[in-house]
Amino acid sequence: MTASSCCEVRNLVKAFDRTNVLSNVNLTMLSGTFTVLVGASGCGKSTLLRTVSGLESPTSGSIWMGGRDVTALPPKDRDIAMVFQSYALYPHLSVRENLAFGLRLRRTMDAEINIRIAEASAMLGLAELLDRLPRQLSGGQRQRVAMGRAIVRRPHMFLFDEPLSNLDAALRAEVRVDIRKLHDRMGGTTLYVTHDQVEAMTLADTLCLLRGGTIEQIGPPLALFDQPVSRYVAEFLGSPKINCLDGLVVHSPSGSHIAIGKNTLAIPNRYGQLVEQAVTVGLRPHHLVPASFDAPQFGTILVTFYEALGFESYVHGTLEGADDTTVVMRIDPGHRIARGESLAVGIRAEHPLLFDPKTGRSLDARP
Amino acid sequence: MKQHVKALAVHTLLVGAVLYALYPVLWVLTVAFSRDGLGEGGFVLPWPRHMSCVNFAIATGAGTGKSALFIRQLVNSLTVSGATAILSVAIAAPAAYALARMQFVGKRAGLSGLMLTQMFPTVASAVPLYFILSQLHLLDRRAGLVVAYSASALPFAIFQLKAAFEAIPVELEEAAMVDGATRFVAFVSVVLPAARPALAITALFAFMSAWNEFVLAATLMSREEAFTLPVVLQRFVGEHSAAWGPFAAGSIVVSIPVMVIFYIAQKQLLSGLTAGSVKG
Amino acid sequence: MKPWLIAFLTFAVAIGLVASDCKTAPKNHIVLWHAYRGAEEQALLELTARYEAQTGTTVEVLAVPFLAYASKLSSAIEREQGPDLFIDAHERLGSYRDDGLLARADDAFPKSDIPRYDTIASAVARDEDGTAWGVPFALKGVALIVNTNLVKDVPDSIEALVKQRYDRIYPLAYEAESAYVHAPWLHAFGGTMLGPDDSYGFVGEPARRSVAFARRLVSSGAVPAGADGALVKQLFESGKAAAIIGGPGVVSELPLSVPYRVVPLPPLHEASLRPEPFLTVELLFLAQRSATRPEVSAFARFLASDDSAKTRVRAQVVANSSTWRNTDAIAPHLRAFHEAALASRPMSTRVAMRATWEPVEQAIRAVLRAQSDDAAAIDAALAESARRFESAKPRATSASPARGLTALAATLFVIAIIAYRNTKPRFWSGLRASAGAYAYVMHAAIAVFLLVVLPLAAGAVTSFFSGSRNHMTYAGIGNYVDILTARGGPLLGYGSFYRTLLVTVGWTLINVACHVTIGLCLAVLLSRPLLRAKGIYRTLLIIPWAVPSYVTALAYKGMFHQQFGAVNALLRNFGAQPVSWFSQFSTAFAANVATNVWLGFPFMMVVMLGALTNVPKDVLEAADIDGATPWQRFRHVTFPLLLPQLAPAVVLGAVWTFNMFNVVFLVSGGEPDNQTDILVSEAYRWAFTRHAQYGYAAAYAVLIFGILWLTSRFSRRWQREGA
Ligand SMILES: Nc1ncnc2c1ncn2[C@@H]1O[C@H](COP(=O)(O)OP(=O)(O)O)[C@@H](O)[C@H]1O
Ligand SMILES: [Mg+2]
Repeated sequence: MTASSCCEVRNLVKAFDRTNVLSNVNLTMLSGTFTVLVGASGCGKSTLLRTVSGLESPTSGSIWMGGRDVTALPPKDRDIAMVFQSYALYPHLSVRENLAFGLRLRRTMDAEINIRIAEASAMLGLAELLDRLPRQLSGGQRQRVAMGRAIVRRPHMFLFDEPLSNLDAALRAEVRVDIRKLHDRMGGTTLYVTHDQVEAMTLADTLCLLRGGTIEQIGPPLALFDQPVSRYVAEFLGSPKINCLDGLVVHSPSGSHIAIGKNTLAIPNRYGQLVEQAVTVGLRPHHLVPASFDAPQFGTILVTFYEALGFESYVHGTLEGADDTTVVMRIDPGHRIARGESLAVGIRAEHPLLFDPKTGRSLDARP
Repeated sequence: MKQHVKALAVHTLLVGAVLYALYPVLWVLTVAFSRDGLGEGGFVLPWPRHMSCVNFAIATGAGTGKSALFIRQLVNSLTVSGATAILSVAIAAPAAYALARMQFVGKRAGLSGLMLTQMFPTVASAVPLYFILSQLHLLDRRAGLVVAYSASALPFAIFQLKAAFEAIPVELEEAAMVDGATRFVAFVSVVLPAARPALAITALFAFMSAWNEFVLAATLMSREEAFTLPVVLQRFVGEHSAAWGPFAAGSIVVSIPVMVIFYIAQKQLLSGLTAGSVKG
Repeated sequence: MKPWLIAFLTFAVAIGLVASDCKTAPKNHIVLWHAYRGAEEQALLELTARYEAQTGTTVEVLAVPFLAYASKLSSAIEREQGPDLFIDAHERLGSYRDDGLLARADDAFPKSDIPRYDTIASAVARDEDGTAWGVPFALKGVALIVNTNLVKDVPDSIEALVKQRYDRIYPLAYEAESAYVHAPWLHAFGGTMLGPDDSYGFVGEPARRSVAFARRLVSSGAVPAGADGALVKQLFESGKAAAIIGGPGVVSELPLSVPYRVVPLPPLHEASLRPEPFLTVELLFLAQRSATRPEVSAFARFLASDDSAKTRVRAQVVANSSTWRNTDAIAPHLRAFHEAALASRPMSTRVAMRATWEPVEQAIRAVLRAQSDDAAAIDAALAESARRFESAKPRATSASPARGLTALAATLFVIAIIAYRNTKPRFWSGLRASAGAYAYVMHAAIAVFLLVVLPLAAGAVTSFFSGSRNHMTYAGIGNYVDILTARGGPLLGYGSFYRTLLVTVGWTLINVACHVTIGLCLAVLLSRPLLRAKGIYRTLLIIPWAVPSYVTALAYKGMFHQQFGAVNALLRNFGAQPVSWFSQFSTAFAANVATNVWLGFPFMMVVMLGALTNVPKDVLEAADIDGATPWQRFRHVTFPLLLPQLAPAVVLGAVWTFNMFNVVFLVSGGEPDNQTDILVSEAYRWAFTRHAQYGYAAAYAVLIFGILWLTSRFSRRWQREGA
């Protein structure tokens, strides 16, 4: 354990009724970092977070904080603060009392409490709301109170469980930025749960993708995006989803390529050992472009649907000669394309992502 | 316009219900306010022939110099019922909380056992209860009554509170525990306040059960100053005849505090406090 | 301040308040219990004060409600907590003595004092050996009370009395269906309620002629049908009855506007004997522990003395014969009651006496309400009542305790084995993990176990015994066999376990359905956000719950009276035929249900109002937006959300209704013919009227428990399968 690690999860197993919800999870969060747990609904994110908080006790394994084994400690002794998905504001207390609650329990002086409340409410714009009851607040305001309640505590660690999922999209984007700013300002360590990959990508220093109770991949967000260890990770991150095409690696004197139906895709030679092997090719929508000089034609797609978002557009279609596999590609908004048109597409990617069709593991030979 | 018609319909229904609730009580009132009984009856609308408050004077001991005693007995009733309400809720709430939120060996057995106690008629249990209370040196003390009433009010109180606690989001306690509370502190400072209406209703039930009970009170208490009002009232009923006037007047007097309490407390009883605690 | 601190402080204050009273028992202190009220109580208190002043003894006088008197006495005296001296009716002497509650009263009532009292009173205070068990105190009986405005000269026979015709005035009113007031007719025709050797006396020619006589009184319209004591009094007060049969209690509460005279009952023309009413002699009893306390005897002598009688005679018919001779200023009506008392017949002191009331009254009712007055109907009614009396007798069941003990041991063994085999390996670790939770449930568990479970269990154990109170003998499962075989009678006959069970189930279902429906409707109406005067409505609607149910239940009984009840008056206003509510099962049952629904709906309403506050508003709004009609919104959103919170109230409400005996007791009283009795009210009858067979009643209780338990088990299983 390094001095700068704030929290460490070791060999964590958590079972409910004998079914493992988390199996052998190891996770290290360095001081001051923002770690995001992401994964599909039901994969155990909340359970992991709650185990870290002490609300659940692990079936086996241990939790370390600041160099101490805290596995047996109740939440109150772990110096953490948590923001719940449902906010969990105390309905009988005013906003002020909600903020003060944790401090009072820790016998903080009144003067100090007032200072901290003033500080937090200035930060979050709660000053006007201090004397209201939770039921007199809007959703966004409640969310901010919930964050304020965490902030005033000045804990070593912040835990967030999908704090934005009850907000509307615009507010969500705004608060997302606020949260990251707050983190940087407060300097605490943050563990943040979300199922939203945009949140995950934008907020995280370290992104940890959970799948079925185990960590699928952990690392900086871009590393996960660019070098996913599995098709699952590749599909999880990125919107629209990555295109996965079934193909066969073929070796010819002109070099290696992958045959996807009648279409072929050149690949670097280092995939040579994969000869005659079936693979899944992962192509992100922005890797597909209209065929041009830079991007020689790889195939033709028959457009079935066209989405214009203003700053960019997406074309949904079926790839001809490849069992009509559906693909999505991104094009510049300037292009006007109608349904039923055919479009020649090329590829602008250094190297496509290759996955084993059976295991879904990445076949990328790079270290 | 449609709103008005609807409101009118609602009021009509409610007024009908109030009439239904009041009608038999009008008879009681008539008896209470009559100097000389009801006459031969056989009419629909009860009204005293000779309005008089003499029955109230008899029932409350006014004029016979026993009104101090009556006040004392009223105080007894209030303290016993009030203490029963507090004690039964104080005992039931933690138990209900554990039953709602914790897993423990014997939980299911305990719950069904609690339900079973309600199924057993009390025909043959008065004598053993008397024996137990006398062993506990609780005879002829208001404390004894309070303990006995609370115990018998417990099963319902526990079921009622358990349901109420289950309706409170778990996150509230979890938030409190993360905020630095032990489980017990979270229970006391978050769950209990959030369940205030349910606590109040449960307390009201316990209060009412104690307020109207007389068999046990008459059996356990052996001094007039220790009697509760229902016991005093029941004295107007004899083997072959009953003094209906004072009895009815006394019943009215007995019911007034309950209605006052209910009227004052109803805002507390019936306000949705958990609203706004979770979700946007 | 912290909320828990507030809670704790209130708690402490409450405990302090209730714990503050501690009883101290000074020496040379006498405790006297009685059930008097009004002037009788005043006289007693006056005498006590005088005695205290004279002797320096302190006397604590306690007036106990009549309804709790007997049970309180026996419980308290057994635990040495009761009175030293108490006043009670001589009929109970037998059972008190047999239960060992009494001390001999030879000191308080020496042989030399016999002449001081009316012979009739001295006689009942002593047993066959001449041992005194009480001191004669007062006489209670009925006489004829006539309105002197209407009846100038009292006719010389009952027949002549009822032959008088007035305009819409009854010549005579009395509780025609009460065995107690019917007794004079029976006696006049030479019968007795209880024959020799505790045999049933209401049989044969005297019984037949007495009920035929009563039937003629009622069917001729001379006597109102189905009147209870309150109504009889009401009729007399309002001048609608020229004469009534009643006791001193009626007279003392008469308004001044009614001029009256009291005379002994005139004879029956057609009977050879005098119509002797029943007489109750009130005795001063010395409780067991007073045996060694001469001061208690001295006080008893004082209270019963001729001197004290001068004070008491202002309020009651004293048993001291000299008082009547030597005192001039006695109210004439009391003198008349005394005269009537001397011509009365003391009630039997046998325990079996109490068991005659129910069958006798059932026979009287059957005859008075029959459509025709042919002799066969009367004979059938009498035969049925005799059969009832016989079948209610305690059976001489006794079983060998050895077998019971073996069975007990075997059961315990089996339970132990099952428990052991069900103990999972994780049991002990689970137990340790549960320690935290036990801290929360401990208090409740102890309280419920000690004060609820133990008494119930002790009660359940008595179901294996027969006999009364202190004379229990082990009967094995005899009581259960008797109940389940309907004592050899037809399995679905009146009063049989199975028939009563059916009635009880119907009673429960209908009541709970009505409670829930009405409570829910009102709660929903009352939680409309924009409703005005909500608070007033709510408060008025809980009135049925707030007013003590004893008095309102009786108000209901009055409302359903055939002649004078408001319900029939209403029917008449609408031109409908009045209904005799309590003479058929369906209407009597309906009257009970109406009362119980009225009593119970506010409780449900309050529960549901509370539960409704927990239904989130946004969900309802969501339903509105989804285009739900108010009914659909209620049916598919509100109701499912309410259900979990309603479950305990509804389930417990059902259980309580199943065991709700007092409404049945007070309103229909089981009429007609115990057909509207439910299982618990049947159990109460066994415990309190039919030879005090506690064991039998306990067996009923255990069976009721069993039925409810099985029902709950099965309903839970069905629920699970349904879900
Ligand atoms: N208290 C519990 N008892 C049993 N199973 C649970 C409990 N809490 C969560 N689970 C199960 O554990 C799995 C992971 O849940 P959770 O951590 O809440 O997922 P998410 O990643 O959506 O937050 C789910 O399958 C859920 O059903
Ligand atoms: Mg979750």
